[in-house]
Amino acid sequence: MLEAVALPYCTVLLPESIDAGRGRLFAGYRTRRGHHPLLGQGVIDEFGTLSSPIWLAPAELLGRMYDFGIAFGFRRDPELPLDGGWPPVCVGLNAPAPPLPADWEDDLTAAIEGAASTAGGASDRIDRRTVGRYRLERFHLGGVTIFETDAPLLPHQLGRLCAASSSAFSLAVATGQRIVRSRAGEPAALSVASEATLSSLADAVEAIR
Amino acid sequence: MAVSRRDVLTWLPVAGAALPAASCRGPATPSVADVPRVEGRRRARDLGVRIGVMPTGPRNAITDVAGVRVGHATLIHGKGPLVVGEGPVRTGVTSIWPCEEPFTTYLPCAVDVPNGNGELSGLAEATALGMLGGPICLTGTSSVGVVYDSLVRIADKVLPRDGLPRLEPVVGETWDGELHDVAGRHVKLEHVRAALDGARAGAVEEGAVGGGTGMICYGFKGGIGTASRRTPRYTVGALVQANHGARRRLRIDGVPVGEEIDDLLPGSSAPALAGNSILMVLATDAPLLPHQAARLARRAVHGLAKTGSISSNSSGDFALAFSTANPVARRDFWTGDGYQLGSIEQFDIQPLLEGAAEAVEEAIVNALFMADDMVGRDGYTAHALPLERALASLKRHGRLFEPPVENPANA
Repeated sequence: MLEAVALPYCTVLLPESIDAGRGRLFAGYRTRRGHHPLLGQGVIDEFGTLSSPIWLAPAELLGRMYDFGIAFGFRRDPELPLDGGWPPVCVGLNAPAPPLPADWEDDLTAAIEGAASTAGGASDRIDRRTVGRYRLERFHLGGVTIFETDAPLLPHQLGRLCAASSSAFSLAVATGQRIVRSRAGEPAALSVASEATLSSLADAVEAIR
Repeated sequence: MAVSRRDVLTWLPVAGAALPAASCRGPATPSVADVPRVEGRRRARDLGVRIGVMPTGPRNAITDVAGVRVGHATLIHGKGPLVVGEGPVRTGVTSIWPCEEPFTTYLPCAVDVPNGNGELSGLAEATALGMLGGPICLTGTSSVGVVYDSLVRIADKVLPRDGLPRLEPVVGETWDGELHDVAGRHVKLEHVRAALDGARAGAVEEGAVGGGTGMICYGFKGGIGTASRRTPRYTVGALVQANHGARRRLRIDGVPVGEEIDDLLPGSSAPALAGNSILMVLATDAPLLPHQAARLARRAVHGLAKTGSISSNSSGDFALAFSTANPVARRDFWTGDGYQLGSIEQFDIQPLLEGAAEAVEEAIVNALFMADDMVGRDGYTAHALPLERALASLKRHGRLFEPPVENPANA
């Protein structure tokens, strides 16, 4: 399940299995209107994947969050590989930036490590519903919506899911399949949801509250 | 006077005819002994290498586009084994000012991504809004956040409190982890300020400087390179942060230099990464709309390819192009009744497209020619391209020419 950690200066979305060792998850996004900077965009565009938590923060703080995300990645792997947390995925919010406390990095680290069980947990703000045999979860904040589903959607399908949302910016992650490096020459066997499944999920995008 | 379509179609031979005729020198199979001795590092053209057919600007640099300035902050200290947080440090920041007041004057821009395994912040806004609103900074992978944050802080001091949005900082990266203590996070706000404050018009320092300090290109020491081309009406300039390419693929002016110089490979105990990345920035004084800037940006990869890159799977290859001829006041962009932009006629853009590809190609070659040997973390060594051997190689293939007469403007 998608988990969320909220602190006054940022919210961190932790897609299911993001910390279960190395690997990537398929991701897609859509920008509808407004100005929501997206760091990590190049890799999402190129490979259709992410391996990082998703940071939501006032645009003014995005560089600080990205920098934290880099440090977070270095703790996982000193080479910052594509499937080990790089690049950090950070989405900018159109909101005033509160002052950062002196020990904000320690606080944020503790909150992420404690995930939803800490005082910073914000998972109760996630809408969860079942669509057919799949989960569809949504977190919304300041014009930005993050979707997570365990349906086996490919990146372009996740983009289409986002397109069904009226949010200014939407990003969707599919957790049903973890993309891992396999031995050379071994193609990965991936499941792909049907159009009927995708349509059902898209229909549910605006219904969940 | 307008350039007719016929003029455009016949432009290239005319421009080519204005160049001095090729004059290959020396015996059929020249060696190092048959080329002039080269002291230190020199730019390719100054040694008789001629990339493409178009004339260069006076300094053969991105700063030939009026208003563009470049600055570097270079961090080099320490040697020996890696101690995270201490060093060795081989990194930096390069700033490109697209105009005098880029925070308050927007310029049409566009981005092309031949392979996106990297970071160039501001992609979404450049694509959606088609405008550049600040200096461009190039740095190492682990410093994107701090450079981005520094630009936010600087912009907030520069911009009036008028409630209008601030465009996202544009920060690009390539990986300097072979030579540098990447986990040590050595770039700070003061270094970004130094790169910005040190920006100048005129000659551009090249090689292992600024964001290019710790970069490796085709298995030789790489880094920052620049070049420019003149068209009948306009100038297009390129600056690259070159950290890409496999040695065996390196070609200089079409000559397989990488095959002929197959020693001096980088590294000590650590294996060299395959692939890696390049950032390519194109500036022009031609009046381009964002979609026309996109056409220019898409030509960068042609220059890149001519040096031997195929934009490998692990590359973060980004090209950003902007036009200085269409400044838009920030307030006009966000509010009011609108604004006007000039637009080059569709058929007039051809020389710019050619110039963009040539300038990128020569900028990469200049990065190789100007970068010196560097020893980094754990004794990892990136050797400089051996210039005399490269020149001998070019000469063997009939691609070494008389160097141009020194132009005092280039000094």
